[in-house]
Amino acid sequence: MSSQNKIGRVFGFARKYRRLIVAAVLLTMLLAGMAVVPPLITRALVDRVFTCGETDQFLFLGFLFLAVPILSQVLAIAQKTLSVMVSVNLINNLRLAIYRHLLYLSLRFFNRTSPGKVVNRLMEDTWAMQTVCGGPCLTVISDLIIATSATMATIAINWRLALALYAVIAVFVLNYRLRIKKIIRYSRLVRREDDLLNAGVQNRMGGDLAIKTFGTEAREHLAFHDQDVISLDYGYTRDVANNTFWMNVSLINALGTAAIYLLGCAMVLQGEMSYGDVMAFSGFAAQLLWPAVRFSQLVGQLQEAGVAAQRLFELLDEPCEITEKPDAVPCRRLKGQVDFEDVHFHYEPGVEVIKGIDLHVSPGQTVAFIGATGCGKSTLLNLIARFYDVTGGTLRLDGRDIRDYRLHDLRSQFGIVLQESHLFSTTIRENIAYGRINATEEEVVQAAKAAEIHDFIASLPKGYDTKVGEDGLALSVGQKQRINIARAICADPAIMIMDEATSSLDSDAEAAIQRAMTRVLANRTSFVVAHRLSTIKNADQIILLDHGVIVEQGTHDALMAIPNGRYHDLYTKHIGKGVLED
Amino acid sequence: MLNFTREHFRDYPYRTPAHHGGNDAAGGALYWRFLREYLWPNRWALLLSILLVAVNANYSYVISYLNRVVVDSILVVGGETSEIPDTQVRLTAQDHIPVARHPPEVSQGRRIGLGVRFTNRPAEAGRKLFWLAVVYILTQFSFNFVARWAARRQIAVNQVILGKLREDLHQKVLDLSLSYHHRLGTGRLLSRIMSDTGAAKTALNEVISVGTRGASMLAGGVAILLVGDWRILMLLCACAPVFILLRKKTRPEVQRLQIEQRQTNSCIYGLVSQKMDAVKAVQSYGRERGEILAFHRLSSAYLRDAVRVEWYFMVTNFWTWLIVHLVNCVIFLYGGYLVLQGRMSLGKMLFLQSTANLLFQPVTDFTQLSFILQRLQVALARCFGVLDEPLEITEDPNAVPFPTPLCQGVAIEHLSFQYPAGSDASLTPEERERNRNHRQLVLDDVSLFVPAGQWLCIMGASGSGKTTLLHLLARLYTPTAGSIRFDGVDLQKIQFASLRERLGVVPQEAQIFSGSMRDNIAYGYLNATNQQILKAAAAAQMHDFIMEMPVQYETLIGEKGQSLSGGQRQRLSLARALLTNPDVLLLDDCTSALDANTERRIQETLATQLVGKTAIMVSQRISMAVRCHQIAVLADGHVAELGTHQQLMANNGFYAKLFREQTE
Repeated sequence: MSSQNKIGRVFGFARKYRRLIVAAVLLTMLLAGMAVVPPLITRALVDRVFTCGETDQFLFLGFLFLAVPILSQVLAIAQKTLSVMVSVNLINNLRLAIYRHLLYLSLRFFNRTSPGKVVNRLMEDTWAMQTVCGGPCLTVISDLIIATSATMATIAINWRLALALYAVIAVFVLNYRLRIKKIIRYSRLVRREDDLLNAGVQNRMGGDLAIKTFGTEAREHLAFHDQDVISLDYGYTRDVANNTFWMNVSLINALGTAAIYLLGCAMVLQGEMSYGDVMAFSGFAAQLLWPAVRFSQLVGQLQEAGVAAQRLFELLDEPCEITEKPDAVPCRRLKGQVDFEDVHFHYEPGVEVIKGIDLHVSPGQTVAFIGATGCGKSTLLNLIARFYDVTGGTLRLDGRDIRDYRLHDLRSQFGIVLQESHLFSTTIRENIAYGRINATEEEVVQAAKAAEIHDFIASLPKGYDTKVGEDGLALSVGQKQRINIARAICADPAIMIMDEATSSLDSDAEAAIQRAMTRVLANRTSFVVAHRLSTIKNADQIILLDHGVIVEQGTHDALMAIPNGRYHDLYTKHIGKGVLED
Repeated sequence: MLNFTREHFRDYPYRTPAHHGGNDAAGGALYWRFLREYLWPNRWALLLSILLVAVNANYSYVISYLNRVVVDSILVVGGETSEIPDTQVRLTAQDHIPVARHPPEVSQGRRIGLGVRFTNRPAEAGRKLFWLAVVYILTQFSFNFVARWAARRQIAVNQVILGKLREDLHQKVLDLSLSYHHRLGTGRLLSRIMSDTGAAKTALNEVISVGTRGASMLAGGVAILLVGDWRILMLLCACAPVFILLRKKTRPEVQRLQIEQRQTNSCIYGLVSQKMDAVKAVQSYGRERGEILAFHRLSSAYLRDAVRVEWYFMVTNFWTWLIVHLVNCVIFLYGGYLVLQGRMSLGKMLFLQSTANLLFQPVTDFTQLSFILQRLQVALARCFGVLDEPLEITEDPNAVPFPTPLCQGVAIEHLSFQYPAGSDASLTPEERERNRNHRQLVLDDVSLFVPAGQWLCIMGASGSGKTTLLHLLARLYTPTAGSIRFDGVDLQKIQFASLRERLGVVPQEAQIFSGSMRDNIAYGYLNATNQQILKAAAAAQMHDFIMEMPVQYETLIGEKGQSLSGGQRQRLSLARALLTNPDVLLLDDCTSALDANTERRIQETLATQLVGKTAIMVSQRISMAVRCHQIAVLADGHVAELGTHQQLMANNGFYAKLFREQTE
């Protein structure tokens, strides 16, 4: 993407605030124009009043000396307020746009990208942009104007001295050019090493149980130490390079101002200038030198913001794989008839995971998928809820291709319980009512009862208002799982999807939930994946999958009737008919 | 936007309220400790750098003094009007202006300006100016190099302190028990180790440079004004209370807003990372719009506070600036008046004015210093908070090695356990107290004995304390009451290293590290040969699927590599434990995520691998339990049933029910 294009896109987010922006720019220009005045006042004071003794001018010039800076400060506050408002709103809009986009991205993206990275981009990169979008952009404008007017003023006062001033500015810029590369290189190295250090700590924190049980604390600390030493070393080099740059800047600044000042004085001795001229000149020199440094800095900041913008737009440009057709039909509650018609699917081209599935599920039926790890059970569930689009064939819901439905309407037909249960850091009530915000107290309690978790919640001092998650109560895996099941029940979906939903529960609790579920699932279509065959015996259809194709299909009894069938084999082994023979 | 009284926008369910605390007394203790433990070892380097900064701070005074010399004794601008009558000056000047030097385009004003008494200038002005220039440049070079040196020393010391702080924290975090890790979570621990130490370093650097510079400049400036003109000093002193008042008024508000801001920020991070982790849940319940709203509200609250802080800063800065400017003008005009009266030379006036002007620098510096100190205090409090966390599990000084080989067995005697209280910030103290009483014992007076070489299977409903019992056996927690003995030796009295070596644990949720498959299997035994690794992998039924991967055992897994399914992870952690060949194995439901076939094969390999070892395993499977010598059923922290398969079947309790469920 060209840089112009990027800038255009960033400002696209600020279009709403264009009046504020124009006002800020106008104020900046006014302020920059006013910056020429104070050195001229000083000059007039020194030359006219102190040197020539024109005492009648003293009061008037003195008043200007006092008043002009105050006026410009007041205007500066207005300008800064405007620029902060614009930049803050701009970044807020950008963040919101990205967050919205992220929430609609397909799971394929999240499988590829770690959540930590996404969060970093959303938060850190937008900050990097804000630092540039507010003040610095306006500084460019004001610096340009100030530099122009200061240049004209210095040439008007004495063009030879002005040439000397430009020589100093050239050295300034040269110093920046020579130094900045090293600084940038080492800044990158430090950031990279810090990332590695971060990743290391994160890794260790995720593996704390293993570290404790194998007693490898010392080894892990040594690894951290090694990485830390490298990071600190680069940090030292970067800081020293930075320091050298700034010390050079201040040396050039000091020597430059001194040279201008002393040259000016020599000219006074020669009678070519007055001392007031020299003072005004020094004032203008300060106005010209700092913009030169700032400008150089700004180039770096802009580069950084450019990288940040690039990464943000990469996120924004990440195609939403699952899109809604423009003529998508809305739907209320569906009956729950699901048809697979020669469904094919692959995550990566060439590696087909689902190889032609045909299946008819009538409303209210319970379908169980079983098979070895990697046979495509979970993928099928993802296809039904349209987390991915099929790559071949069609999937119909109530006789209509699921891609024809509005996405939001389609998804609200499902209640999904996943193997890895997520709880949000809020109250238990909100966690259960997540799928239906306006659920009544009664409905929440009913759902909790059905998921066999009500008694536990009721025993807590704050009951349903107990906070869970990061700052709250720590729950066991089984308890989390049951709250997740309660959440799905509470959403009152047409189709229930359970992906290993009860694997973390003991058989007793599982059986209890099973009983409750049969009630809940009575008039709903449901899809179940489970390792324990005992939990799916009562399913209307049991589908045995192997490498993306259906191997056996039917009810428990029908499948058991197949002599030497795969299901028969699996079931007898699993259920432990042979247990006591060992 | 600028309505400062409305605060409701921060009240939001996803935003836990910020804690406004931290008194200065605690701050003093923190600084003292930081000084003793981290700064004192580097005292000479620090002292040198402070000294250099102090010297360097007076640079500006030297330069303005040189300017005074130029004005008063070389150029001799204005000033002693009393010596020569006005008219004479003009006449003389005009007489001496050579025509060639003044082309016609030079303005009248300048011509007048140039009419300075040439007669008054010393004859050797040019030479004097030259020598002054030399002094000027030398001064600047020397000051600059002093500053460079100072900064380098400072940077080096900073890095050393940062490194020590970081490593101390890391070491401590590793040593802290799992319950602490669980309470804080990875993100917060990470921010303690990485960002808080970084913040402490930056703040320390600023404290030293800003503080030293301020003090040194203040001393220098006061000295100059005392000698030069005490009235100007008085004027400056009169301004000091205004500054203090200004700071007193705005600082608490700004501080409060910044605390709020930080809190909102961490809440946004929390919210976003949680939702990004669970995008599937958000999407499957169609809650995207709600989530955007939640994010919008938090983000807006943050930015609102940011704008307010900015506004406060601007207003405070404006008032500060205004005072400085007014005083500056007064001095300039007062000095100008004195010059016109002929009671002061122009050079001296300009020198005193710029000195007074420079004196405002330390005043603003000190205002800033309080903010910086605040930041340092917060960062230090967080760092030391971790460092001070008591270690729950420590090695006994008289610890003995693990009894090898284990002859008698593992005895669990009257073991009780209660998890430490969580830190639910939203609870009032009374509620917390109630909570504590309410929390029942996870394990209540459990006594078991496992003879050496025998296997015990622990069964029971979820939440009955099975995993807790295993964690206690591995000494990941300390029991509330009772003891665990290996061959009669109390677990608390066994050396850590030998305990970890002789005791293998296979957790329920297997943890993998970023790295290759091989590294992960060999995690507990770095020096394992390839043969041993292959054998362990094969025993855990993972050799086949590893060989199906393109680079087999070198496949990267974890953060940057391939992700493993739950079953694959369980097998990995089993292989890891088998490789270390421990005497005692603790297995925590390590086959729950496996399909029936793999589970069966693993059970068969376990049956051969565990021969001769002592094993305590948690399992839901009857097929595993029947292979064990003893079966214990836990219920609500008690041992409900204990015995062999036959005994428990005869008992007709939980176990028998489970057996029927799984074999019917």
